[in-house]
Amino acid sequence: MKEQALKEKLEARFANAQAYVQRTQRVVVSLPQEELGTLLMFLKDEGYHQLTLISCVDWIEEGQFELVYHVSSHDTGIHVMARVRIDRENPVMLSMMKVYENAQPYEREIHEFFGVDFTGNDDLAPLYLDDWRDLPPMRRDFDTAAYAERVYDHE
Amino acid sequence: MEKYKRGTMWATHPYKWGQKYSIWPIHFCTGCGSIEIPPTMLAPWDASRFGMGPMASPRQANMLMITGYLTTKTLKYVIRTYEQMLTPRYVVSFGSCPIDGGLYHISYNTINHLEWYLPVDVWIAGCMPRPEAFLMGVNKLMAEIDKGTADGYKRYEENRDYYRAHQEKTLGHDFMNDLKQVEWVMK
Repeated sequence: MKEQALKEKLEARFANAQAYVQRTQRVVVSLPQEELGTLLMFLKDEGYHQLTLISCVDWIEEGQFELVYHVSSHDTGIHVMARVRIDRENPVMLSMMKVYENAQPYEREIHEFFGVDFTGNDDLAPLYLDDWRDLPPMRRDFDTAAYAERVYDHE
Repeated sequence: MEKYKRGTMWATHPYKWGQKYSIWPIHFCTGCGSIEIPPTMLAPWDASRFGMGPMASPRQANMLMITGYLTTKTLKYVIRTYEQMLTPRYVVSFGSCPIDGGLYHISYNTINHLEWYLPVDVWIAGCMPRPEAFLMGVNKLMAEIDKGTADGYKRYEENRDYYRAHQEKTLGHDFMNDLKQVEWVMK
């Protein structure tokens, strides 16, 4: 199985990483944030040329943000999800633009909607929102109903 | 407006006759309802039967179609476009989102009710309304023009403070300064 081989390869190469095979063509890797750049460079050398998406999850109870980097290979069809946790109070992450150039707009979007700061990404200007002055709207402590009532309800 | 016999309007009220049969919507599409506009304008439903044709410039158009949800970003351009149109101007709201927010009732960037920001002459409910419903709305607008009740632009002039207060609360002071420039140009 290609997925199992990749999992073993990753665990042999990265001592702090935990990997598992979610299903056919899906491999999930969790690892500390310092090692993410090495992992992505390793995967890129293995033929994972496409960064599909970066997503962010707000684990408010644990005081952490989780960043999920989705990379996929056109040769094997495997889609790897690399997950790292960062501190929620001081959300700073290293930009992955040096490895995958198209990380730029994804990081910019995450900066806008979650407030995560990416060092090394020099254009984190607002992408979608106009004149936003509140908490980043996708954070779980942002109260959307109260905001909508305050700003959009004129009754 | 006094009653007139059917068929003699071109003689008694020529300007109204012209307004009624030359509804020129500005080509401004917001949200998902805009996908219903091409078949309405083109061969399948052929809106030019009703004297309609899309216009590229707000100065030449007299109808503004709001075809779907309005984010704050889009609403700014809608208001700027509406301010640049010449009277008489009509607003047709399309779909359930401009009525009460629809799917986006609780959202961080979508307005709930269009009438708070702009005067609306005809509401078309549905998600999405079919082109038939849109053409019914156009016929309704024509009837309103006949009766003289399509007076959204007059309401906008009379209640300018009301609309301006809501626009300022949602869109902020910077945008109101931009609008002052538009007003100055239109003078």
